[in-house]
Amino acid sequence: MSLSEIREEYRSVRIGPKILSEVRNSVHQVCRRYDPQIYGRAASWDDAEEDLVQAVVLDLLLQEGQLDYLMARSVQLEDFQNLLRFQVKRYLARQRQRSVVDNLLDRSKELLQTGAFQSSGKGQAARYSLAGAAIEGREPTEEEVAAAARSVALVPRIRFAERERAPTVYTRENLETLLQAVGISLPAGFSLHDLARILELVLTDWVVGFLYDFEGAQVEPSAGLNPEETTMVEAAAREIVEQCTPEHLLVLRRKLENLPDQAIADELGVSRPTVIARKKEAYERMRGALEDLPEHVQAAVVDRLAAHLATFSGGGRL
Amino acid sequence: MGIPKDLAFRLFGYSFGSWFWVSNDQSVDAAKLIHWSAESGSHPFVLVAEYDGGPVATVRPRSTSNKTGILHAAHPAAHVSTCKIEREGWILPMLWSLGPEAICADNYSCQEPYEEIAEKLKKGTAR
Amino acid sequence: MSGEHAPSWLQAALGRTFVLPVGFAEEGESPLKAIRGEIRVARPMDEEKVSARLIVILEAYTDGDPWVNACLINNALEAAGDKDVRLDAEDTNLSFPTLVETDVVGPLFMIQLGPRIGQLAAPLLDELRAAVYGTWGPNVVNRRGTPIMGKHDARWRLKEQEIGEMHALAYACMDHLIKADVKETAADLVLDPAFIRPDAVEPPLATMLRVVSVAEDEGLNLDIPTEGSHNMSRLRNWAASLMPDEVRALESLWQGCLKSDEPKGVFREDQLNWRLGWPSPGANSLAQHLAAHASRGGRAFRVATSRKNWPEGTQGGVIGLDVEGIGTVQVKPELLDVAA
Repeated sequence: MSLSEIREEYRSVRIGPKILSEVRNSVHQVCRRYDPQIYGRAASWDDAEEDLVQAVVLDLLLQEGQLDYLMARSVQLEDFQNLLRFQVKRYLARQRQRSVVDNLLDRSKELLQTGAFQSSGKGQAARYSLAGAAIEGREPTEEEVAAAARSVALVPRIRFAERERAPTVYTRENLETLLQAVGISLPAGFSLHDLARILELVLTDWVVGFLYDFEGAQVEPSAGLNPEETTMVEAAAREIVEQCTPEHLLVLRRKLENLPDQAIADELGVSRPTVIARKKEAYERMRGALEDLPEHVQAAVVDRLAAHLATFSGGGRL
Repeated sequence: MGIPKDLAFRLFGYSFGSWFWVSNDQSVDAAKLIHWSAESGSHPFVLVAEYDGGPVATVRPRSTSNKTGILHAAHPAAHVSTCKIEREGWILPMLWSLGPEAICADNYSCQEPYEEIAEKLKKGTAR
Repeated sequence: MSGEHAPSWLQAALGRTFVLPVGFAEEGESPLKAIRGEIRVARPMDEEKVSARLIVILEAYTDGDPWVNACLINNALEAAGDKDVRLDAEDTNLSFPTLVETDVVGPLFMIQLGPRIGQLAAPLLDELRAAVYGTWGPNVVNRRGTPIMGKHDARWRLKEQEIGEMHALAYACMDHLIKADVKETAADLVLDPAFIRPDAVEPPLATMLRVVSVAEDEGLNLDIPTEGSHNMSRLRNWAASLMPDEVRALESLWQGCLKSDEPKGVFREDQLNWRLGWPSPGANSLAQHLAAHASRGGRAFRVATSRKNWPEGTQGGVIGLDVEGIGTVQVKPELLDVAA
């Protein structure tokens, strides 16, 4: 098979036996590396492989136009084959992400029934908000969803491996924090669909690691802390929050959300030099609380603080 | 990198208009061992967007001999002690992406002092 | 499966929509003239290093050696960070959504670009360009991913990889542009050997004077391909026919002939390939001459040539010459004829 033959087929019938054969080869090469129950929802790939071929062709190559992307970029047959294998991985990652998000939604439904939240409507139309909040009868704006995703990105996650069947991703406590962060960011209330969108925006680094075969370098801060270290984490995080003014905490939060200094200055109604001064002050307070701690404990403190900041909207104690 | 240093990067970064002298072997991807100049030496680059401590900084290079781009006077002599912009030159119109190892205190020269130049950089003016 | 029908599920899907096939990376117009806002495939100048990538052109420069400032494009929307902007198919006239990486930028020679496969409307392009400079307008600010949280984030590693690929695509152009105007590496204006071939009409004096004038105004060295004794004797005979003041006015032309002491590369004809052709006579000897320069590091050249061999709209476009073992050379025809 040559790229010329692939190109000729693409121009004449779009997808014919040659391209289909390449898809089958790529699917076979890629999927066998992964657990069929997790990624194929089947007992074995023998049962699921053809479904995967069809899905890659119909959903990705045709419906999402990825075949055109592949043809535009390919200069050698090897390029086409590499790009095709990447598409197969994209499909597998997407399936996996959906099931992880679905699990989180199931867990969230339970937490959203607690007193911290209120709901209206039923089924697909159900909307949730923080208890006592006045729900505006509208859909959240794109800007609000993006802001919610930035807040949720601060909530610490538990790294999961591609082989893990039912990853936790968030501890119960952090999932509650996440839902509160969403409630604060979306004053119009939110549906499970909105929550799913936010989770998909946030769970990107796992997907990237899977797609590009990067080994994670993630520190898992809270896992493996002994009771003494857990106490140190709580104490250090509390010390930082108590020493920082609300302005410091808001500046910290916005910097962790990667907003530029001028945008923070505009939000606070102060000058940019003032924001820079607040950053320095906040950093000194953090450094003071962290510098004598072991690195894994420092990381847990930062995670604890980030979780607090995710729901911080000015004032409040840890 | 320790957590406080990581945080410092995230909190502070460098502003738009900061100048850095970057050695040629830091200007291109070390993994691919591609050097856009085989010669040793360095070139000055200016940040054209705030650098937030992330994996990429967007810059433009400066030249004292290539007369395309924004005419750029030498910085005032009493500017800052680390300033190395001592001769007239041109801020060239090419955009480039630098990794965080190039945007560091060791390479830092100064902040652009001329308002008119900062305005042109902000607008992305070529010349 | 030859001779068999496609499976029914595929037939049904193919029957539902028609999409024009995209152009392939080696295709494209000649001379190639790209403009801002276009989405094209970019290939490296060297023969290996990195695969072709989609880019969007932020700015295009056609004075001197044509080049563009470009942003890299990725198709993995799920990898978006907060500097990456998702564009839907309707934004680009492509059949697929894309991610424009506003922080992965670099200069590319125009000849590196394949056919135009997409186009951004000016307002969206302006906002993307502003985003490169750190200003986020209303049409792009909410199309970004979430911030990359640190080195533990896999997207950090991805960005490092993306910068590496952009550097591999862009370093030849960056090197060339950085060194331009440095006296020792000053660019050449090459004279099309078609002007001095034995079978050519005598080089028109007015055109040669214009060539000299352009070279002097732009600080270029005139480079006269003197491969083959026929060309030299032809020039000599022509010079002998000129008036003394005409000879003096053409001083830099004669200087250009004196560069014949530089070592000449020797390439077989099958090692040199004009992409889509060089239409004026003498294409082979011009290719040899430029390949010799390319073997010493040159990658972009301007060739003073006669407009009679070129279609309308050539000025500002570029032609590609592939040199085996080296890569691509960009050649810009400069149509400097002066009407008699």
